Amino acid sequence: MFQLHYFVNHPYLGYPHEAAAEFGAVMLKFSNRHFDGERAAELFERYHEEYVVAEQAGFDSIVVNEHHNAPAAMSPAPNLFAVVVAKLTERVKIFIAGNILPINGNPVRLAEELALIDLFSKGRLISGFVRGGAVESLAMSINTLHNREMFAEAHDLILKTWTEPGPFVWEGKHYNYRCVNPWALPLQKPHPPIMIPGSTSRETVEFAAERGYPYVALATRLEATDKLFADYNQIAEEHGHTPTPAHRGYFTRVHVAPTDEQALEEGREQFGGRVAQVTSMVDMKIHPDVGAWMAPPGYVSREAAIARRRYMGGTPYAFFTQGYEKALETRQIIIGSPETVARQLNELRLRFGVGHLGISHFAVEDYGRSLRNLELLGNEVFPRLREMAAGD
Amino acid sequence: MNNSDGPATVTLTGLAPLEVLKGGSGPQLVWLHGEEGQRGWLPHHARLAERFTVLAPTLPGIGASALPEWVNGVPDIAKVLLAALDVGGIGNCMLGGASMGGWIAAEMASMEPGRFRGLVLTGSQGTATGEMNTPDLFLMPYRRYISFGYNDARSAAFQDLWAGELDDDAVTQDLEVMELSALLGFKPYMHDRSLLPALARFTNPALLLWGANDVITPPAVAERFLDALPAAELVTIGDAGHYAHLEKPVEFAEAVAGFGAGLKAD
Repeated sequence: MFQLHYFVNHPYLGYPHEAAAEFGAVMLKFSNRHFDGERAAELFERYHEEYVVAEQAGFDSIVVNEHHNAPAAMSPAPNLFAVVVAKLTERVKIFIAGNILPINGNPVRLAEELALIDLFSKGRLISGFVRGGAVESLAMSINTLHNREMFAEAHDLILKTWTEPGPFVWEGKHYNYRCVNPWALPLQKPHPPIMIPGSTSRETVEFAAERGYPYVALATRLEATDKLFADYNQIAEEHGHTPTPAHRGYFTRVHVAPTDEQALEEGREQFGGRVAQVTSMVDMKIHPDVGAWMAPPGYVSREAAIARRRYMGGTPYAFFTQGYEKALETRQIIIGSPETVARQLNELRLRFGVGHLGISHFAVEDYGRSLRNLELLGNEVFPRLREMAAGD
Repeated sequence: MNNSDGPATVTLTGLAPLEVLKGGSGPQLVWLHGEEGQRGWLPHHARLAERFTVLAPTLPGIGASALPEWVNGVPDIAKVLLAALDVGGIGNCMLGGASMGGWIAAEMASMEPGRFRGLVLTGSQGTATGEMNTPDLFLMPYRRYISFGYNDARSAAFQDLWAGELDDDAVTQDLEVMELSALLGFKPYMHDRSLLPALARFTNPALLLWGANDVITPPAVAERFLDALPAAELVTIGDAGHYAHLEKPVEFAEAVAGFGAGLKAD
């Protein structure tokens, strides 16, 4: 089992980098006065076109996600993207990675929307559920103290809504309903596949492993990823599941060009100064409140928070940009000729034992390069990768 | 931490065990800390204790004070505190608090107006400022927020209490007060629309003792409490910010003592 996923972040490209550098952050309170609707409309046309190109390139799914208040991902409503994917494509799965349950507010309505996406697409939905970065809760003024509880309760309620005939009553700690009975239910039975994307939070790994849900590591550092999959495998087995490659996924950033030399040069152009626009990092001053936006009260466990505060001395921990060479060396970006990229992706596949590999564009700035990236992935990287995977 | 005139620590268990620092002599004054936490027996406690029997509960969820799992807002915390006062036989007393502690005190006064002879609010939360530019506890590092509560964060008053090395107890309490603050005041942000209307029930005297340079709950907030409370007066302390009790403990305690002296005898 080996699947390739195309992750579209829908970044806003072209906001004034100086304004971001001056503010010291590209999230939450970075003012939307820098947003231009004409530009965004153009970009969405491009991203929608890419869904189709990615399907033709042979990807198994198109992945969309949810973020708020940030140009790095203009994706406040992933279900809307999912509908567009459903209607523009024929074959690919639609992987929402994922809806941020604690900030959604109404799990029953969310269960209904996801059912519609499954129906519109004739059963192609993969439903990812996430806690969201802390900034997402702050952007929506949802109490971060309840994030983990709300995530778990909303999940349980959605699952029950999908799988048990209504009407039923739900009296929980955070959600209360007197008449859960949505008419439209998902096409896939017993329910659309659920996958849990995360970025190493121990609680999320536990949540997925205990329930036997596949866990997808989002561009996490390699050593941290080794550890989290070791934890995942152990916890899954303790709960009676047998983890297979289908239960593990790894997503990363890729740029392919005809030769290593060209790819590395283009990668360097993208990295230099512009890395901020795709990673929410800035290389100049750091806004003094950024650390608090990443770790508001209750968002991480008390133990993790104490360790963090002790380490940071209560001050915001530094965002930093690592150098291009370092990012390549640590495989935080995968850049090269089709042969190099296939080899490096295969190394990651084998290292983590993953059945899902997700790819997002590294060089997003230049649309021509993005399209060529997809074409080379489809024509030259994937055949190599699939052959290597078949040889396991 | 300044524990020089160490108070007694008593535990009152009404709805849940509540730790109370107790010191001094004279009429009873219950004083509630807010999101600044319970950082020991500080100069404002010691000064108040010269004139009052000071009872300073540690809010539920912090230190040895238990937080019942059903607590979900300031009215619930008020019930826990009132139950502890019942158990301690504490009534016909003065009540006061700072910032979030002021909000809790005001809530308690609205619930049992006859129990408290006088109410002291300092930089009280509980009513919306509706402004983007007042510091938000949940959108910045905790101790940076606290620094905005001082007129002069370079002063010894701030530096001695907040700028030192963080030991494990301080780290733990920072997290405990942040979590309690989020439980009580994340949304709506540090206010409750029912608070001011309900304060019409509190007809005993109230002192609004505000730092003149409070940027967290600016003096306009004090004016709203002044309008809502039937028998209130507003006194400002110069060169003080939001945490006037911490920044100007002498002036603060003198004002409270003067207010207390003017109240009807028990």
